[in-house]
Amino acid sequence: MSAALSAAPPPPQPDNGPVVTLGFAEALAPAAGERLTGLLRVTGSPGGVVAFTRGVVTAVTSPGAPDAVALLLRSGRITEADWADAVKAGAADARIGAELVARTLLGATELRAICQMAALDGAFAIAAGRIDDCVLERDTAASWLSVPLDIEPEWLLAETERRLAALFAPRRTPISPFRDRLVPTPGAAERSKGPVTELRREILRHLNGRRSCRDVAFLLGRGLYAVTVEISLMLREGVVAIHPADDDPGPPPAPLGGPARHGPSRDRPRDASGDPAWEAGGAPGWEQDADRLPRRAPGASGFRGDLPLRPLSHRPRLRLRTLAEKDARTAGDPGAGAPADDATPGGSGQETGEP
Amino acid sequence: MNTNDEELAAEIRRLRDRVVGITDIAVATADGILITADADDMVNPDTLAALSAATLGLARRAGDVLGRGGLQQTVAQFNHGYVIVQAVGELALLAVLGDAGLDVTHLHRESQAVIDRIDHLLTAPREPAAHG
Repeated sequence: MSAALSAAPPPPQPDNGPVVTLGFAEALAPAAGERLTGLLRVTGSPGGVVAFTRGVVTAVTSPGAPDAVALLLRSGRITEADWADAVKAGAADARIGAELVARTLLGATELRAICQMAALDGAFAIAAGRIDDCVLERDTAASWLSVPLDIEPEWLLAETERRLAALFAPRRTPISPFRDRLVPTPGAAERSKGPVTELRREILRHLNGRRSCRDVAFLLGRGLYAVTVEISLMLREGVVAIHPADDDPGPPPAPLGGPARHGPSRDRPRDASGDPAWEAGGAPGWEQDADRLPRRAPGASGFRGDLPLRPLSHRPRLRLRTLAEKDARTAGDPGAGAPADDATPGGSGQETGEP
Repeated sequence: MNTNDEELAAEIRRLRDRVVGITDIAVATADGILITADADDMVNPDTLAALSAATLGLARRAGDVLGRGGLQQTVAQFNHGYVIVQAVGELALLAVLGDAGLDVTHLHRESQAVIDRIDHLLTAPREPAAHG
């Protein structure tokens, strides 16, 4: 069992209780077992959507990872003009992917590989973040590109678990793909132990203290996992550092009319001169700055270390709420759907596992 | 910088931290004068403020003339991202730039309370910063 995913199942919730939190794995299981067609909407930060057709996954999208279209356009594989033409020709009957292939802009295998990579990245983004709720919408059409993927949910879960375990392995420097904003360290090129690849050069060019792994992945049109792993390595080598928050805004202030309050300052360690440690040319600040590391509490994703999953019939059946049920429950409990304060993978109590 | 300015800057930074995909934010007057911004070096905040004011004014006028009611927000989607402008009361605006992954629904949900607080900060009496 991997340390990253040694997650206990979420506690059962009474039917009349607050919004039920389902783990990602638990939510996927019924859709796969009952060979459903529909969308599994995962709310949280960044959250995402898993599209099913007859029980197999056909797409996974998340605000936390570039989708196939973003990968195609940002990487320059498809020009904006070609994309516009393909959309005009294929949007009406949902065959844009087929149009791209028919116009020989992409090979069918290449398009399928990109869509599969985007789906895996989407699942990784969902699982690496905070999961608040999962709602199944049955019989809803999906997929913008309509590329016929047929990813087995259990394989998707196993691959996602492998990625999380690799990224949060004890020997790695943990990093939040969404929250941690990075900056090259002084003398970054000299510090680099590995070959300065094109990806690494591009990453260094775009890191400015405002951008996270996810932001760089979108800018480059590269997969979230690939970019996050590379930045994790660069972090370990001291090539980049997590940028300190100059002035942490803290939690939201009191309601209007009440006294405004600032959250406690979470200044990073500073050296004797008052400069942040990572600027002083010594050890990068992240090595000493445990409070910036992802705080990954067990339980939210529902992943288990004993994957592959047991046969569906042996697993407890969890009832997925429909949208109508969710609306009814939310209407009865206005605070039920309120987002948590920390909309990051390091948020409280809804994480995937310990680093 | 006085207390209100600091709180204004903290509000927009907090919004950027809470919604993945936001790249730049500006608060400006409804006629396009920049009040504060949290922007990348790829974006000129004054230009963002001016263009956002023009966008908001045009959308308001269109809604008014065409009988669509009060304006909630303008959302322009591009191949590589979004430009979203929301009114802050009658006299100011919040402009948000996002990349292609921005969750517009999530942003709309998160920004409502932020807009209320920004409106309050812009209209509240200004407090001098404490020195010493």
